[in-house]
Amino acid sequence: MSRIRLSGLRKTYGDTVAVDGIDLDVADGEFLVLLGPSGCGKSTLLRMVAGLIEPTDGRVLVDDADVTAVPPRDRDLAMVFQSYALYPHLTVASNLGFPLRVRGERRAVVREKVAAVAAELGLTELLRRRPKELSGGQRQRVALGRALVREPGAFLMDEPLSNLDAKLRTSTRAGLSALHRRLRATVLYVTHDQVEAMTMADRVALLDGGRLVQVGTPAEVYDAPATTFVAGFLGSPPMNLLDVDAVVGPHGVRARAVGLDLSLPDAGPGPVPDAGSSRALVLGVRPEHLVVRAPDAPDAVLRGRVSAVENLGSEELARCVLGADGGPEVTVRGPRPLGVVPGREVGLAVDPARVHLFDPDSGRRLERRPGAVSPAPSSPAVEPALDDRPLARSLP
Amino acid sequence: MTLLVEVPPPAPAPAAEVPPARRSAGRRLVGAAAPYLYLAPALALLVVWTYRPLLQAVQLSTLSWNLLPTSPATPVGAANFREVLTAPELGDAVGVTALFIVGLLPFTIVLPVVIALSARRVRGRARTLYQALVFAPMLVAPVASAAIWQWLLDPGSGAVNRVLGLQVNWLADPTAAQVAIIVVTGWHVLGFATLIVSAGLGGTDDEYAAAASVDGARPRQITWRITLPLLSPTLVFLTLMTILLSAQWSFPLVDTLTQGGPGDATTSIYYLLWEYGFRSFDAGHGAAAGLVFFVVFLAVAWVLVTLSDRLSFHDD
Ligand SMILES: Nc1ncnc2c1ncn2[C@@H]1O[C@H](COP(=O)(O)OP(=O)(O)OP(=O)(O)O)[C@@H](O)[C@H]1O
Ligand SMILES: [Mg+2]
Repeated sequence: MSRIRLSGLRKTYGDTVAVDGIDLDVADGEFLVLLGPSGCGKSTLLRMVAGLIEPTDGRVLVDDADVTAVPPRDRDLAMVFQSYALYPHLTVASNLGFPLRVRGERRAVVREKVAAVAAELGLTELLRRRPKELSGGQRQRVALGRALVREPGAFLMDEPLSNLDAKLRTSTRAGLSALHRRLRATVLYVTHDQVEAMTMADRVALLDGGRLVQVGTPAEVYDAPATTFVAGFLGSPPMNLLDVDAVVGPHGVRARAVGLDLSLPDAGPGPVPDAGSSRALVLGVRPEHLVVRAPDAPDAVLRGRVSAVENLGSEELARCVLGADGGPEVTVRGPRPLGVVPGREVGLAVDPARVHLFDPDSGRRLERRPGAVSPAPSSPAVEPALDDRPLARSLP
Repeated sequence: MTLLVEVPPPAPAPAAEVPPARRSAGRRLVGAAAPYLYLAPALALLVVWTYRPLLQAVQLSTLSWNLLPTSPATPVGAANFREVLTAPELGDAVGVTALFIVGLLPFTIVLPVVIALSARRVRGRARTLYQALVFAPMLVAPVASAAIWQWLLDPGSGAVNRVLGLQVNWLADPTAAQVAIIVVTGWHVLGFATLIVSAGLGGTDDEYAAAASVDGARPRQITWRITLPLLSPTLVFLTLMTILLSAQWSFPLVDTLTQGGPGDATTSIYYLLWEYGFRSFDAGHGAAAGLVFFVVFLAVAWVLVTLSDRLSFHDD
């Protein structure tokens, strides 16, 4: 299996920048998921790796060999297309054998390998059919089989599950993960579905507007989103993001907004005094980290009115408007029943360790460094010192 | 003690008091008739210009008549068919037509495919220009182009002989005349066929070629194993057009350049039919020959349309 490296990869169509300078290293045997909303350049990036689109700038390396100018057939990569692109005039057997036949493999060998792959994917009964006589799930398996049959250096997959129904998608997801573990295959997998990314990836690369926003394990990108974009993209419902006025002082951060008064102390519990430099921040809390309290409970740092409750079966979502009417809305998620009633006042508590802070201008994550007097030397880029309580800007 | 009570199934909703909606008979009639009403204008034209003449041809084919309103038409039964089918000139005309068809296939299949494939990379304004250039001959009136070609093919001072360095009397030598008719007709229809192939290529999904290239196919393999098979319905359609229409396409050129000669070397079936009707004024034989061709072409069309359906791989 191969290692894939992208360096400064860029693609523009006229004034549109589809992919904007991507550096990425996919390790040998790694399952890397490219995740991002529709139109963020995932397919364009994957097709540049495959050699189907010529980059405007930058390089693609497979196992230390620069393949930027190498045609797709000589890159030793296999691709599963979103549309599957099964050759409509060929039978399943011929579709599976196509990559071997065009490489001049002997008929007997082709037949043997096709039979093996078909048996593995449960396609043996279907070998004589044409693509239009298959169901969506069967087509998906044929597309996968066509990629598997010749043992390529790496697999490129462009939303291979997006045409399947929810149940089939779940089982195919598990199947793909098992296949990856068994083959120790390098996989570059494109999706806009965060569940696929979280469940299958060794690492997730988040893409926004053609730029790489964060690369990390599923836990890292979920627990420490590098930007408000990542925070708002991952999780369902995504993280609550609130604009707050904050005072950054020697003992911690005190954040205030309509219906919100939150202390983030450096050490120990208790409120943080209002002394220090003030600045605007974006405060983020995941819905599952908000805890329902009585409106007048001492630890209810958020106060508001419940506007709607949604039943998810095992859990419930409550939407709360903070402060007076027209205030910001937050979503609370918890086991059912949450014990809230639409129209009633509610208080919400949160563990300060679960609170994320972001810079409102750059959208980047701000790490709290308790006790730091000057910028930590290990940090390559740091916010200008704010009195003696810096908020270090974290880099992905 | 605990009591276990089974949950009852949901009670059926009480029957609605509202009577089921009914469309009036008149509305239903209009609804059912609507598609036929939309088809009516086209159908009327077909009846007036195709089916009525066809029936009249059937009628004419059993008569002996010289087309003069004043002279009588005598019924002769199937005699016209017997005479037409045994006439030696019919065999010759079929042979000439077959030759035209075979001769034109390179212009309607091979060259258009080559041109369309190699022009696929032309984009934008250059593409429009190239399509206009290829299509232009189709827009020249056949009789006008025949006049120009007559001049070009002149054995003494014609450009063709001078460019090729030959001394061929193009329209007077049987083989040369056949070649000339085929090439000039081919020049005429090449643009049309190329446009059809280009449209066929445009209709096939690029994703298949992309998948094939990732799968390891070379450009030549992609053309032969993916592109051409996907194009086969278009190619069958063009073959059908060539078989059915070769004699028609060449007709104006034959009529202007050679009048079916020298001898009968360029008398195709349509030209023969026309000679029966409007040279010999023999309506009965003309109609009988026309019906024979109609039946034969119907059979050919049916076979090729069936084949084309088999070859279309709609993938959805
Ligand atoms: N051939 C093209 N010409 C012009 N713009 C293009 C072209 N192909 C893609 N783009 C633009 O580049 C951007 C990225 O497209 P891309 O197909 O890579 O998105 P994607 O992330 O795969 O989206 P999706 O999840 O919807 O498939 C889009 O804004 C798109 O409009
Ligand atoms: Mg895409």
